[in-house]
Amino acid sequence: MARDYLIAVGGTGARCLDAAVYLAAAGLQRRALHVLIVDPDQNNGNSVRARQVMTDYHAINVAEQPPRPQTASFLGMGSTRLPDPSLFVAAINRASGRGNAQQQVFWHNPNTAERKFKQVIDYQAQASVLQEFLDLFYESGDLEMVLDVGYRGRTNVGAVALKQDMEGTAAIENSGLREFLANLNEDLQAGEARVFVMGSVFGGTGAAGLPTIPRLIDSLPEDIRVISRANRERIRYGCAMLTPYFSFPQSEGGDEGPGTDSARHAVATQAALMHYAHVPPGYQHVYFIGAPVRPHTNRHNVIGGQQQFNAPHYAELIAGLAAWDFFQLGEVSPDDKRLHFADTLQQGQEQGVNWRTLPVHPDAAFRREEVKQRMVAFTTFLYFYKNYLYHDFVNHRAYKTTDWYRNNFGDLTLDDQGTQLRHLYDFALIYLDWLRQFGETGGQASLQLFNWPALQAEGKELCSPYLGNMMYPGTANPKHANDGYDLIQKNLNGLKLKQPGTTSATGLFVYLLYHAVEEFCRDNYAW
Amino acid sequence: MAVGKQGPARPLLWAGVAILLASASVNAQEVVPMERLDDWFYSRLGWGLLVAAVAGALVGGLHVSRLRFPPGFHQINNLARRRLAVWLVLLFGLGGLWLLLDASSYQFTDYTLEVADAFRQVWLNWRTLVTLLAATICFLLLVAVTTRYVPWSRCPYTLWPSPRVNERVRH
Repeated sequence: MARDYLIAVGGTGARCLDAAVYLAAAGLQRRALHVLIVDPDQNNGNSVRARQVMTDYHAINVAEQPPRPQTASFLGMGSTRLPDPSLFVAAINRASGRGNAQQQVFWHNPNTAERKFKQVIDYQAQASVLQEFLDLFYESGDLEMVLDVGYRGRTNVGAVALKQDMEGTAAIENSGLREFLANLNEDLQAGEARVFVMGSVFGGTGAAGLPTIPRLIDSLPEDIRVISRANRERIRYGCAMLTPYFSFPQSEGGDEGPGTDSARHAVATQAALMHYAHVPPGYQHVYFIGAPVRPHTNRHNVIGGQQQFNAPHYAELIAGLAAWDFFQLGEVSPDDKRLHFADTLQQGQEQGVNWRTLPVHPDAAFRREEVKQRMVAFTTFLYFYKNYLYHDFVNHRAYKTTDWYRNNFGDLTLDDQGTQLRHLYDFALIYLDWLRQFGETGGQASLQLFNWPALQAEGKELCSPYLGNMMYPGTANPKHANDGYDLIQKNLNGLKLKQPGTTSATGLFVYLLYHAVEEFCRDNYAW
Repeated sequence: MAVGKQGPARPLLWAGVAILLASASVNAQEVVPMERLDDWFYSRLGWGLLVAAVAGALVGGLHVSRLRFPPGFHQINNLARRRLAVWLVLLFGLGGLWLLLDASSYQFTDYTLEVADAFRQVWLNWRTLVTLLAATICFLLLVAVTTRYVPWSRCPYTLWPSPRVNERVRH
């Protein structure tokens, strides 16, 4: 099966990628993904976290879950088929034919941190006439700008530097881009492949990268031999263009070089969109995403690096859904020019962001229900694991005395699965914290998705009233609001598979626990 | 001297020994004919087994197997065993009381016995212990089967042996 291709450009792209990976983990993405984070700021806080999420995801993905699970019935007579695994099933950057290794997810920028923009364009070596011409486009601050933390909101700088640097790494082994193109080429042999790009149109890297990616792939020299000319015509492009949806405080000065200012985002967006209108960037499907209220997602003004770690926002979830939608589309013609957008108004009334207003393709509105169910069940699964299981597992091996373990594990053991269990725990920590912050930054937008106080709760006793009450109050009428813990444990301990069907104890555990949680959610929320 | 935790087995054992020794020290035969005592015993043994079976099915199916998982508990077989121990003490006591009251109202001869006589001559006898033990075993058996096989059971291995787990640690 051909992979889907996802490129996250800049810090905003990395934040959108988090959301896309969470949706994939929840079971919305079935086909394998190849992901590439393109950010010249190699230590950007959001990009670093996206890489961590990807690592944790991969570790859980390679723990194979039972492919065709069946329950053992009374006295071993007959059996009942259970649903196939759905969590963490889409491989992300899994190398084909090389075991369980994960290919590079981050574009490796080969340049030194001290490099200035004027070195990129070889400014000093140009004739004085050309230098004067370049001065019309770049002020001295731009030319002297050190590119260690990205393009600092300067699209005119980023567009030139990014394309040049990426072209330079297209044929370099382990650059990330080389592997991306090689896999793409392999999948294109069999037919069409889809590339989805996510990034902002108001920043430096995103606005520079969005129009650059299709052009870069299309114009790579033939002699690079990474992707053939005939194959390039079978690529279908989609993108999520993020318009201003967050802000951050004004700079207090002191930074070297140009700074960033979220007050300029609207103007920068207008300029970028005007440019795209005149020079279409080559996407068949464009998803246009923004938010009416722009909350602070960072307490400080940070130009880049590890400290540029912005809190998540619901617009990023919408970008993740856009990627999912694009990959689900039927036929995409090379001549398509579609713009996707949605709002939360119904007959002129603002409905807020809720499970009924999440944007999905008009032809597949029924899938909105699928998004809700998968997200709620997935969140309950991780909430349960993080708050009730992990510490007892690693500190006391509490699984040993459980019925689900005794009934199903046979020769398998969780005793040696500490690393995988830790990855699952880390993934749960990051995801639940992401969701908590997501609830905070979206507060002004009437965000009615989850029961947000559940994500603030810590400790077994405090969390137990929320296990069966994970949805936003008033959006569901849970039958077992106070019995979540008991009923999930009952479902889990009542599961007995005919055979493990896998050699991975972690994979078997993930399957059993999710099945128990999903059964509970179906009953509790009357799905 | 090491002081260890004392389980419920030791007091029960002492109680059984006490009953046997006490029964040896009285001469129930003097008043209650042995044949009548045996009749009473076999009849009460049958009823005792029946009552214990019904009680076992009810306790197992409607109480023990429906125990809820308190937050943080990963299995409740141990919790179910503790609840079952309470039921056992209760049923042992009630069973003993029932046998005593029954013995005092049963016509072993032309007259019914006083409670004190019934206690000394009938109740304080190895037959009582056998009846109670047989009823207990029957009760536990039914609890074991119901907790294991009723579909809503949360503690199937309360008394039923559970599958062994792999203790091997791979390095």
